Amino acid sequence: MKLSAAPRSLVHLAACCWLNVQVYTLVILLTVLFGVIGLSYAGLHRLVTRDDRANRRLIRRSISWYGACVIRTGWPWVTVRYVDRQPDAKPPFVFVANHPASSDAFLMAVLPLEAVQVLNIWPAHLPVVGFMARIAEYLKPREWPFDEFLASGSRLLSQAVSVIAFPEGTRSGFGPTGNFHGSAFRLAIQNRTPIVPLVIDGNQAIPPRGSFWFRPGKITITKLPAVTAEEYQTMSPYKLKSQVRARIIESLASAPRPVIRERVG
Amino acid sequence: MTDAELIQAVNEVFIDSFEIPPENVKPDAQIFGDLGLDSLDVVDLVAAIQKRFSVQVRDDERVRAIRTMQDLYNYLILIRGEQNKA
Repeated sequence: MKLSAAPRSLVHLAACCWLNVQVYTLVILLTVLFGVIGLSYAGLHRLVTRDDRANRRLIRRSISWYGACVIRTGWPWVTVRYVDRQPDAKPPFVFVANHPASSDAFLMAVLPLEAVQVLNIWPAHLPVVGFMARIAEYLKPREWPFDEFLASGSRLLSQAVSVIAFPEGTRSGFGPTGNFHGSAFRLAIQNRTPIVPLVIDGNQAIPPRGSFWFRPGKITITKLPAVTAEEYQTMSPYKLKSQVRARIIESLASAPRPVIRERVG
Repeated sequence: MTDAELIQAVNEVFIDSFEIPPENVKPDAQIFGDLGLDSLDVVDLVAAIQKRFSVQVRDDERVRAIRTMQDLYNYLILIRGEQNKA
């Protein structure tokens, strides 16, 4: 039996309400749980081992576990699929992703490696996020002199810690992919690090720009083949970022459009 | 150098230094919005322009008002006039 349009929208609204109650309840619980247990354990680990490198690795891994739990809080209305087009590549990488929604930072937990993110100004000043970002040594190129960003990023890459950047700098939502800022590309060039394009699709409404209201959807994160230093060594930073952006846009264009794109915008 | 030659030389800076397709380098193109240059690219652009035209523009406040290619043409034509007077 098929439902008519009005009951179908009521069912959809009920599902959205349930999804949001479920997501926010679980995220609060997870945040408290990871905050108390994770931070206590990390602090104890630091006191006992006095090994800064191992401690930072533990903190980054804890953040990744937290993110992996958070992105599952919307199940079964929100599902996340990770597609790796080059699983054999060896880290570290500079990952460069499009930025459709604020959930992107959590989605990076699908990457099975140690990584730090490049932060914009406002997330770095959120109470919990800012503190965790500081102890995990996330990079803040908007607040630091560029040389400091390069030095910190290079040090992390030399320790085999990958760097994840959203070079649009702001969420694109349902709009086109914005222009890319070149700082992450210049960091990769300086260290001859492979650049890996990441394509995030399906979370434009999870949540939509300017809203905290989650909608159901199927999110896909696709890790494209890396652009190696040998491939980009003759390119200007401008051309490199333009080519990587073009690859991401091409991949987005070839992806099947989620139904929600037609309803919300 | 005539105005047309100067404009051609500016376009060549964008095409050669940034590998921007020539068809995108148009007078009404926004340097940040349409061409996609960022603050770091602008540092490279200023260096390339200083080298190509043998001028010092890095500390000139008027550079901050440049938004489009036409603004840049006008600015460099103005600079050239000031140099000729001096």
